[in-house]
Formats: sequence, C-alpha cells, structure tokens
Amino acid sequence: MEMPMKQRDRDAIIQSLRAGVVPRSGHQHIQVGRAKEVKAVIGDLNRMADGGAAMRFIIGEYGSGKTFFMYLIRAIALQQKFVVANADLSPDRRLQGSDGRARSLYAELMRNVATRAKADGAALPAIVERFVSSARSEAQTGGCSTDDVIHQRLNHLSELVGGYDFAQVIAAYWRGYDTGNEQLQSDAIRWLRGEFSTRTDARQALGVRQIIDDASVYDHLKLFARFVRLAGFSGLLICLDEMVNLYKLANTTARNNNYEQLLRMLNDSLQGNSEGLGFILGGTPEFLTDARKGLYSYEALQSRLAENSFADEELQDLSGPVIRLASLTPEDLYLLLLKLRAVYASGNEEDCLLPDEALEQFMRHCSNHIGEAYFRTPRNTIKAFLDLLAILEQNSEASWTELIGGVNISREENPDLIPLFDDDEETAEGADGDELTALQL
Amino acid sequence: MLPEWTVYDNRIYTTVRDMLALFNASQHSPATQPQPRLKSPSRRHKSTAGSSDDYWLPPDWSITIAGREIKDGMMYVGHGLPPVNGILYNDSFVVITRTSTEPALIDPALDVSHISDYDGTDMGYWPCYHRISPECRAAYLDWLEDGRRDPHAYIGYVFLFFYGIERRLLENIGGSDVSDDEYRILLEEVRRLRTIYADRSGSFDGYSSRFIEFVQIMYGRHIFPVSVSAYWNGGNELPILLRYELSRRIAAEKPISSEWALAWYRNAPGLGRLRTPARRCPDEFRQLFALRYAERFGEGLHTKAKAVPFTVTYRPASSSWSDTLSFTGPDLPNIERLSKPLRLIGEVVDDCQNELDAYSRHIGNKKNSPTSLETLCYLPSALIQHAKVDKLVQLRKWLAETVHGKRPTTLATSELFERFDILLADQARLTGKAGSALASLLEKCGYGIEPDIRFGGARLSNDDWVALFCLPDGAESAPSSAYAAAAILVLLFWYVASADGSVGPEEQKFLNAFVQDGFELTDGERARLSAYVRWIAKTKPDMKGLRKRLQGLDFEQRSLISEFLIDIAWAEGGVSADEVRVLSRIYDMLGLPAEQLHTKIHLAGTARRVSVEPVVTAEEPAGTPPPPRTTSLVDMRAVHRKIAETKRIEVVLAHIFEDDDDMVPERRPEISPENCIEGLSPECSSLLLSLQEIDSMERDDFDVLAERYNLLPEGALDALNELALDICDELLCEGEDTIEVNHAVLKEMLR
Repeated sequence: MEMPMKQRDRDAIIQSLRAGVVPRSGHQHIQVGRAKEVKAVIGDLNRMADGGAAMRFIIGEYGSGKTFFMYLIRAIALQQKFVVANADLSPDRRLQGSDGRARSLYAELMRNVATRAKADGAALPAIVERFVSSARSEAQTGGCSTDDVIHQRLNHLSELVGGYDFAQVIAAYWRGYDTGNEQLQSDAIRWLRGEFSTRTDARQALGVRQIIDDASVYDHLKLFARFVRLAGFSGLLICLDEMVNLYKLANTTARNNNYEQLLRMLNDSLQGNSEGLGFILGGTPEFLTDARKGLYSYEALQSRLAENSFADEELQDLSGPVIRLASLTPEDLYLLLLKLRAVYASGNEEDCLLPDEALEQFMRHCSNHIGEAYFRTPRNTIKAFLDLLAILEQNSEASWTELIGGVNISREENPDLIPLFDDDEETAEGADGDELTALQL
Repeated sequence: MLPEWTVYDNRIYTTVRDMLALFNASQHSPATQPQPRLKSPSRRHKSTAGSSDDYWLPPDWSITIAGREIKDGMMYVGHGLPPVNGILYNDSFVVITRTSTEPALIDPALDVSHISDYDGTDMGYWPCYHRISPECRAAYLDWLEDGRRDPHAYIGYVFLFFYGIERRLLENIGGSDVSDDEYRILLEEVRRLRTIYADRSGSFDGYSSRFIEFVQIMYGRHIFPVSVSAYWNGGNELPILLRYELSRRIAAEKPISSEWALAWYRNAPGLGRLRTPARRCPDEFRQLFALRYAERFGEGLHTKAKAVPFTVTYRPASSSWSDTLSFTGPDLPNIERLSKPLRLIGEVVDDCQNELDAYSRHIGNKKNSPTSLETLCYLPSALIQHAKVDKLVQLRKWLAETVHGKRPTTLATSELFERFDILLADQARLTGKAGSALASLLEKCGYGIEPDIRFGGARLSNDDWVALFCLPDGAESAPSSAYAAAAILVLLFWYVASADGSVGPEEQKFLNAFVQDGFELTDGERARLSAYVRWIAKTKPDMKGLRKRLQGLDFEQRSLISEFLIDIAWAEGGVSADEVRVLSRIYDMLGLPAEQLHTKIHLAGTARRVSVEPVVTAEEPAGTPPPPRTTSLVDMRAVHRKIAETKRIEVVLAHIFEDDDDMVPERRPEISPENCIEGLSPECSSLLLSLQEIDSMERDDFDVLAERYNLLPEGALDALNELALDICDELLCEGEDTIEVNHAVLKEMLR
C-alpha cells in the first residue's frame, strides 16, 4: 500500500506538476517503475560510497522524463548521505570555457549543494561546519589545536591541485568562527563557492594565493568530493542537466574543449581516479549520437560510449555509462494517473475524486486531441489531469463526464529544436523550468 | 474659504447639484470661490436619476451632515443614485436585490442616531450607507468628521468611504471628468488611508493596493513609483502595475534598474520572502542591494520574453459592481514565466542578506545601541564608505590626527576603548567577535591595528597597548601564510635581540632588512609587520607560549627555521658578530645544539660561494647568465633563492600562532562516547538532550547553545536533522531566524 504522505509533499507535487516543473520532493509517490535503471544508479552510488567513482549519461527524448529521473536519483543519493550538487548547463555555464564560463558552472553547483537535511541547497556552510566540528572534537581529545587537526586531516588533499589553498580556506573558516569574524567566514564560503574572480581579492580577504578559476573547476570538484567524505558524507554526486547546450555550441573548438573535459572526467571515473565522485549527465539523443556535433563527433568519447551491440529494446545493458530512457507507454501513463489521483486524495482511497473508468476516458480524450504525444511527452497531460481534479474538488456537484469533454490540451513544443542565439534567453526559458518531462515505469 | 453646507433633514433635495443651486440662491457664495463644475444637461441622458457626477462632492468641498462638519468632500451625497450595475448580497452572499442604491451614497435624509456604534457591530460584509443602522451612520459620520484618521475605527467605515473614491475613478476611466488634480488628490487619499489601515486589515490592504495600481494603468498617469517596500502578497501573481511596468521596460529593451529588480523579486509568487537582516535593516539592505546589483549588472539586467496581449483585471471592493473589470491592452512581453532574471536577482538578494547578517544580529540585540561605533563595526564595508554618520566622521578625524604619516602610533587600549564606547571589566578581554569588528571598522576607515585578532593577535584588555597605522589601498584582512610566518620570526628575532636589554642599530637593520626582503610580502603586510614590531617594542610581550610551541616542532622543522635565518644574515653580504650573537640565541631558543651553529653559518656561506649556478627559481628562466658576483653588495640572486624557499618555511610556521592562553575554557561534552546516541557524536548527543527543554529559540541562542558543546551551529543542525530524517522522515529543527524544535521527532530520536 502507499506509504503515508505528508501534506507538504502532496502540495509540493501538485503545485509543481501543475506549473509544469518537476517537484523537488515526494518523488516516491509518483514514481512509476524504471526499476532497472534506478538499480543501476544505486549500484553506482554504492561504489562511490566505497571510494569509487561513477559517470552516467541519462539519454532520453524531449519529454521522456530525464529531469524527473535525475531528481529521483538526487533524492535517493541524499537519502544515502551523499552531498548532491545540481546545475543546468547553459551557454554561460560550461564544463570548460574562458571568461568565467566554467567557474560560473562551478558556482552554480556550489550554490545548489544539498545534503539530506538541507535538501533545498545552500548546504555548503553546514558541510564545512560538520567537518570543523569533528576536527574540533578530535583536537580536544588529542589535546592539540583545531587548526592543527584541520591541516593534518586535509594534509593528503595537498597532493591534489589546489589542495593546499583549499585547506587554508577551511582553516580560515574555523578561524573566523573562533574569533567571531563573520566576514572571514563568509569570505571563506565565497571562495569555496568559486565566487572570487581575482587572486588579489582572494589574497586580501583570505590570505590565499589561488582561486577557483575556469581551468581548475574539475580539480576542485575532485577536491570537494574528497572533502565531503572527510566531513562524514558518503561522497559527492554532481547532476548536470541540459547537456544539449554543449551540442548546441556553434564553435567547434569550444565544443571539442568541453568534450575533451568530459573525456577526462570519464577516464578518471573509469580508472577510479576521482574518489567518491559521481556524475549524472542528462541529455537528448542527438547530444549523444550526432556524429557531427554530438559526443560521437569526438572519437575518443565515441569508443567509450558506444553501446553494447547485443542490446536492443528488450535486452538492456546498463553496465555501460549510457542509460537510455524509453518514453512512457499508455500503460505507464495510466499507472501514473492512478498515482496522481491518490496523491491528490492524500493517499486516502475514499477521497478519490474520479473512478477508474474516468482515467481511461480522460486518456482517450487526450489521445483524440494530441495523439501519441499525450503519453510520450506527458507534461501537458499531467497538468490537464490535475486541473481537472482541482475543478472537481471545488465543485463537488460537477460531473466528470461533462468536464472531461471540455478539457483543453495542447501538444508540447520542444524548445531544443529552436536554434540557439548568441543571447541565451531561449534556452534559459526552457532550462529554467526544471523541465518536467516524464514519469515512467 | 471652502463653501460650507448645512443640510437639514427636512429640506428637499436630490443631488449635490441641487444643493449647489440652493447655496447660490442664498447668496453666501464668496466671489473667490471657483464655481463647481456642472455637467452639461445633454450628457445627463444616461441616468434618469441624474449621473453620478451630479452626486459627487469634489475634494475641496465641505459639508455638514447631521451636525458633523466633514471636510475635503470625496463622497457621493444625495438621494437616489443607483449602483453601477451592482447586485446586493446579504451576509450569506445570497443575492437579495438587483435594484438598489449606490452603497457609498450618503443620503442626508436618513436617520442618524445619537449613539455611535464605533465598533461597527451592526455592519455587514458589504456595507451600504442606506442599509446600515443609524448608530453605524453616526459612527461613520464621526469618523469622517474626525478627518478619517482614527486607527481604531472599524474597517467597514474605511471601506464605505473607499467605495466612493473607487466608483469615482473607475466609472470615469477613459473619460475626461476627473481632472489631473482630482485624480492625484484621490489617489493620495487612498494612499494616506493605506498608511493607517493597510496593516490592520489584509482585505483593505489588498483592495486598496490593487486599486491604486489598476487605476494608474488605466489612466496612464503614474503618480506613485512602484516601491520596493511594496506589500509582499505571497500570492499567485505579480502585482499588476509592477508587471505592467516591467513588461514595458523589457519591451523597450531598457535595463531593469535595481529598484525594479528588487520590487520584482519581492513580489514574485513563491519568492520574495526576505530574511530577518533585510527586514530588520530595510534601508541598509536597499543600499547594499543597489550597490551589489550595480556591481554585477551595471545599469541593470537585460532580458527578453515573448509578447502576449496584456490583460488587467480588477474586482472592485464595492458592491456597486457585480462583475470584475477587465481590460486587454497592447502586446507586451510576458514576464510571468521568466525565471532566470529572478534567479539572478535572488542571488544578489541572498548575498546582501548574508552580508548584513552580523549587523542585523547586533542591532537585534536590545542591549546594543543602533548608533554606537561598535554597531557600525558590523556594517558591511561597502556601506561604511557611504555612511554619513556623525560618529564615523568624528572617528576618521580622530584617526587622522592620531596617526601621523607612515609611522605606526602606539596607543593605550583604554583610550581606544573610550573612543569606541567599549566597557570592559577589569580582568576581562575583548571578545573575538568585538575584536574582529573593531579591526574591520578601522580597516574600513583606512587604518590597521596591531595586535589584530584577525591576524592572530591576542585579545585586548584594558591595560594593553595597540599600534595604529595607515593601511595602503587594497590591504589584506586575513593573514597569508607568508605573513604569518614572518610575524612569528619577527617575534622570535626581537625576543632574542632584546635579551641583552636593548635592540641595537645593527640588529634593527637586520630586522628591517628581514621585514623588507625576508618574505614575499605585500605593501599592506609590510606596513602591518612594521606596526607589529613597534607594538612588540612597546609591550615586550611574554613569549613563553611561543617558545613552547617552537620547541614542539620536530627537529627538521626547527633546523629549517635556523637555516632560513642564517641565510637572511648572509644575504646582507656577510655575517657580523652581532648577527652571530643573535643567531646563537635563536639557536638556543629553538633548542638546537649550539655547536652546530658555526658549522651551519660556514656551510651556508660556502654554499653561497660555490653555487655559481644556484637553484633556478621560478622568477628566472634557466639559461639566464648569473649576475657578476660581488662581495659587498647584497646578492639579489641569493635573496630570490631564499624567497623561493620561503614557501617551505611558511608551511612550517604558518600554524604556530599565538598560544591559546586567552581562549575560552574548553568545556567537555556531558556525554561520554559510550552513551551517546547512535549516529551522533557525543557533542551532538549532548546538544540533542539539551533541546528537550526548548520549543523554539532565536538563532543566536541556538548558536550559543551549540558552542557550549563545541559545535558549529550549521554543522550541528545538519547532523541532527539528518538523523531525524533517518529515523522519522521529519526535520527536528526548522526555521532560519527562529529555530523550532519538533518534540515528537525528538522523542523518537531519544528512544
């Protein structure tokens, strides 16, 4: 039977879905299947918790549920005490770039850093303080200074690029706390978030020589992954959505530089060079296989990402780095509507506003209007369904049979097909909405 | 003089116009009084009972009704004005009639009681003057006579008056009956009422603010700028005027200025909730936001959105209307679905709130005076530069007089504390927080202080000394490891050099050279180091702690320090007898065998001579020809080599700071590791237990509580909430400024 549902979860789910975005919590209530894929990623998480590394490309058509799937993984990772950071790529936020474009991706990730207890992000101070608190406790037991313990424990980070300064900044945070210098504390957090853009500023504020810059973004992610493990977390999961923005880069060199960075990350994860660090990357099929501009245009990536030639629709191979998400089927959608109906009634069956037969009739109505799209890109179907429930809730005397006939539903447009202008407003709009694409079995 | 009207109940009249005729007939009209406008008869065909214009008492008119002299007009007066198209509801929202009278119309013929029902006990939800009780009418007229300002008046009376203005303006949209002056006066009046009643009635707040916005759009005459302090509606849509103005700006490709950006953010659905710092210090927040926003976006953000027909709607408060007014205008960018600009603005808002946290917390504590210098210490430096507070001006003047030129000035702490109104008990020391704040305020004025707790200095007490000095531009506010190491060595050196009573000129020279060249220091750090030396000379600090810590280093590290100093001595060209004396004392202090010193000096000297091709440093690419060797001048090459080596020694020295003598006494957690709660450290377990007594607490108090168990607050909250989620899928502590403890969860966790 359904697990008990919190009012907060119910409201979050309904509000988000009606606005056409993926809810931030309560995914378990509307998750439909995809057991194999989830299991594969949970395997990754376990490996990371043991100090391994992982990288997955979540590939799905527009509207097939990539974003939802990634949020689900995010929720699972948080539950398993991972630190999770997510960001959408955009023309201004890349894996590799100049003029602060890579740093801005890092900064975005760090702003969104979440822990289980701070699932909405902005958890960076909490992570640092958990580390410092434990160093402090160790210092007391051992009779030495907290500063010493911090340096001692971060000592082996020094071997990594930027590690020495990283340790200095953590120590500065502690010193700021210890001496009541809140400015220093907040400057330390700003440094860790990649918000210092010049070395001079960093030296003035914190006395360190280096900053997190475009060139050192990936190194700092590796560093941070080690750090969160030292702070007592299982590891660091980075979720990057809208990878299609790399595919859309018009400049070949810029695109290839980003693919090269991806290759470096992939190699590190395959060889286990990045301890406790995992990546989940969401993109569309053309991003993966387009031989001209996609990942397959980069020879070295293609050979590593090529899928098992024995796999087909029936036999999936989930051991490679690519997970292809299939679109929803009508049966999936039916199950999903059942779940949504239950969510709306807060899990109480007697409060359900629609009988089973109404679901089928609703689906038929949608199918007549927009054809297959109603289950393949179900965002609008879900919205229409929840709107219908809302009307029924407020007007108890209304008859569903009449209402369904009046449901207005339109086909979803794929904003990725719109060419990319220099100005990123177009993509930003699409990317901003935490694109709800699908919920699937 | 305003015309004065006295209307008796037995007089027959219907409209203001009729009364006016009577007035003129009675020859009381002063010549200076402009004649009230009257509608031409040809336009009166709309209504058999006369158009509403005929009933309207303009703002500059007075009237006496039932013995109450009511100034400033702005009311419908007379008998028989029908509602616009209204339906009258009873209190159960059931339509009771369709044909009735304008609710706002004051009919002087109606009974007014001698008793006033000031609490409005008999008023319905949709009051109408002609339907309320005579007692309510009395109270309403009293309120009008009093100038519509009693904050305790029943809100229904305010609405009744508001209905009149609402009708006047809404009914004349698109017409020319309302002059610019009248338009302005009416809106000003609504705004004035808002200052008194908006906080007291959410309903009035909502209607009146939407009304002001709607009317301004419809009339196309904007008299009020959209204010950043605009109400936070927490609602599902942006206030209409804001949306309209933003859309027009975006359509015109204008940048969104900081005021507009903040207003947008404040009123965006689902956002806009400002934290305590922004609410407690709204002016500082606004200033800081404007600064940070300009830093990030220059004149403002640019954004684009798809244009759609712009629709505005208004649901009148008065029951004079039965429907919602709606208007569709030209195509404008639809900003409702834009989230990227809001995210960017939100980032700036977050940063500003964080920056103001310390200041806000300080003034939130009632013990602190909001205008003291100590309070100003907590103000973000960006704001200090713009602050025109007297005390700050005086402080700058005093500093300029006290600190002359580049030489550091020493000063008794008592004098400094007096300046800052700091009162310390005799044996007490300044807290770390106050010390940091003091130093940073001085820094914001362009001065440095030594000892500075932010640079590892000790906490000050009443009978200490400090050195004040001018900071060069862009000076550091945290020590680099080079500075930290240099400071230790200076202290060490000074201690040794002064052991024989005084520091001689030779030694002074050595010290100066060291300060100038020994490490890769910035100008700011050099200035600070000089002040530090001055302070050391003045106070002759006790260095037992330092000695202990130095001897805590391992042999190799101690040797490294000694070699470094020997190299510095050599860098000057030769090692003098004085220097040898100094060095041998340092050797002693480092606990190194004295006999090795001379070997080391010798080795260092010969190495210098032999290494014709010394270490190639980063500054010098390989292949650069060595400079001609000299015997008397400083060998810069060697100095550079030293600098390259400095980094090694920095690592050793950077962390031996001041001893912990004045640290707060450490408190042991109350729980031993054996009995702590599973999944929590002993410290966190103790904290959890202590939360049993608490339902909710201020964030500051929580910080203190966490500190009692040696925990940093954010980290502690994260750990406790994580376990709470594990055990019962609920958070234990929630809230930002006030922390609420969920006791059901706590009980589960302790089980």
